[in-house]
Formats: sequence, C-alpha cells, structure tokens
Amino acid sequence: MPDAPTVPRPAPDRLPACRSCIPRRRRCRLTVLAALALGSSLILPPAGRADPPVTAMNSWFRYIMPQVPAGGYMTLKNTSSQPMVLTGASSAACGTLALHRTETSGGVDRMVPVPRVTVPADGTFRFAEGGYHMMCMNPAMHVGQTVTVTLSFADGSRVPVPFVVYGVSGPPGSAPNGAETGMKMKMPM
Amino acid sequence: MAMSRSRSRRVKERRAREQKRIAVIVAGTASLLLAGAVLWLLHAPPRATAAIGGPFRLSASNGQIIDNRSFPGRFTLLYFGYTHCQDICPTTLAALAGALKLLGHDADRVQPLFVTVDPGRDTPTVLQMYLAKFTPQLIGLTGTPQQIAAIERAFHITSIVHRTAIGYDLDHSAVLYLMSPDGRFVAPIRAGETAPAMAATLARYLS
Repeated sequence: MPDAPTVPRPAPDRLPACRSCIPRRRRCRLTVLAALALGSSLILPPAGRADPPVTAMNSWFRYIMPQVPAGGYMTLKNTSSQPMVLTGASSAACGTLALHRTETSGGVDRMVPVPRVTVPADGTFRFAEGGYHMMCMNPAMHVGQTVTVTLSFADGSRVPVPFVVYGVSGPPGSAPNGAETGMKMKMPM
Repeated sequence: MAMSRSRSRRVKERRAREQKRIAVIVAGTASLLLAGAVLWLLHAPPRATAAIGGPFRLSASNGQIIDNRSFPGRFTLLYFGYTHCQDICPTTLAALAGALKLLGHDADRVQPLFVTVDPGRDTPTVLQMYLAKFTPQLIGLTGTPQQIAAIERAFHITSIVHRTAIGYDLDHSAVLYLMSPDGRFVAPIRAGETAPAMAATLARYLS
C-alpha cells in the first residue's frame, strides 16, 4: 500500500466496533485495512493507484553518438487477462521515437515502421536486436545514464519506463544476437 | 541325349557368365562416370564465388585512399551498411568487434572494412567517429555515389533507398564477405550472427 501514508487515520469512533470482535483480531485488522483501502480509493484517482498491467524489463538503448539514431530494446510483460496494444513511445531524450522492425528477406535487411505491437494476455513481447526495436532518432543521452521512455497503449494508458543507456557492446555479458528472427540468407548467384 | 543335355548346360553357364561380365562392365563404367562427376563437381570453381569481388578505390575513414590491393598478405572482411541503420548494423559491428577479440592474434590476418551504402550521409569523418566506438581495427570506406554503386555491383550488394516519414532508410544485403589475400571470395558471414559464431567461421580460414 504505497499510498497508505496519505490516507487519514480512521476516526476513533470506529474502534469500539472493532473491540467487539476481539476473538477475531486478525479479521478485525483486515476490516480496518479494507476501510483504509476504500478511503484511499475515494480520495485518490484510480489511475494513480492501479499498477499498469504492462511492465518493461531489461530496457536499454545502444547509444553510439548524437549524429546517428540509437536502438532501444526491452521485454514487455502483460500481467492482465486482456491483450495490450502498444501504439507508440516518446522520450525527451530522443526527439522522434518510433517502433521499428528489422525484416530480412531474400538476404536483404529492411527497416520497417511498426504501427502497433500486441502484448498477449499473460504474456511477453520482446524487442530484441535484429528484430523489433525502438528507433531513437536524435539521442540526447550519455552512456551510464537512465532515460525515461513513455509507452502509449491503445486503451489510453501511458507507462513510463526507465531505459539504461549502454555503449555499442550493449549490456555487460550480452552477446549481440539477431539470430532469433530466423533470418535466412540467400547467396547472390 | 546325355551329351546334348550337358552341352546345353555349358551353353547356359557360358551365357550366364557373359551376362555377369556385362553387368560388371556396366556397373564399373557407371561408377567410374559417377566418381568422375563427383570429382568434377568438387573441383570445378563454383560460379557464384568466382563472381564476387573486384577492384575498388575508395576514401577511407582514416583519411587515406584505399583500394583492393591496400592490404597485401591479409584477408579482408567487407560489411556493407550505413551509420543511420540503428539496429542490425551496430548489432553486427558489435558482434564483429567481439569476434576479433575472441580470435586473438589470428585477427591480425584480417582487415575488417565497413563499406557505406549511404555515401550522402557517411563521410570519412562520420565513419571514423562511428567505427571507433566499435573497434579501432575497423576501417570505413566511402566515395561518390558512382564509386559506391560500382563496388556494390562487384560484390552483388543490394541497396535500395526508401523514404520514411522523417528521412530515408536503406534496405541492404545482410551479409559480410571474407575475401582471401589475393582478392578471391572465401566465405560469407550472415549479418546479425553472434560474436562466437562469427569467430568460429573466421577461425576456420584464418588459423
């Protein structure tokens, strides 16, 4: 209950009612907590209280230099029973920030803008090297910094995500890997 | 009666022997032909490899002019890409830098070259700043659009400009070419391979 301190203490006149259930002290305490929760839900707007159903893990940028775009990667986890549709992202550290995908066909790599990405219910979606990525067009950041990216979803929710800024070799211990898109290469004849 | 029966048996046996001999000859000829075909296939120069590569002369990120004879006695590894490619190019270059580290001294036998397919934006200075972030071993090559088009043709590289909402991107071949010291094509490496996979392929030819 992170917002509990902002909630006023229950009025003392509620306590006698509580004493009447002394044999079930625990249940009594739960009643008080429920009252607190009810109180806080009345005081605070619901958006500030509910945990977003989508969280991002291992989010990072590969920053090279200000003149060239930085690629952003992350894993989105949806804990709700509804699919969540990511429709865009923005960051003060990027200028333009767009969802992109590297597509390989016929031995040619192609960058494709992605209008939306669906994170399945109770599932994950990975932005990984050689596949889906965020294109941070004018990176204003430095290695070692953490910058905020705000993800926008189709249901109107916005989720701020901290991105760690790494240099060209990426997070320590990671092997640059684009193999997971199953790229096939045809040799030119 | 008995004589003629034994003669006919002899005739039959002789015929059977002849048939066997013919069968052996046919089988032998066939297997010789097959072996010849296999040997011919193994030794004939594959047409695809003969066509990759050729002379070039371009401006390098180190301020020099570099051509196909600038690295005598060394292999070259050419990767065609561009600095504004924010995913597959830096992923591949980071893996390449990792692979060279894994190769240790063998890495001295190969000169990695990054040839831009975007000469409009990738000047020698931009390439120098960009490549230095990956490994000092990398040399970038750029030139006039005509020079770049010529080296793309020689190496069968596809690069297609496509407009985007905020500028342009280039679709480009997802391959690195390992070339021998005498300029012949040796092996391809797929862009986006991991550092250990790249190192394994390179080690096969360099060590």
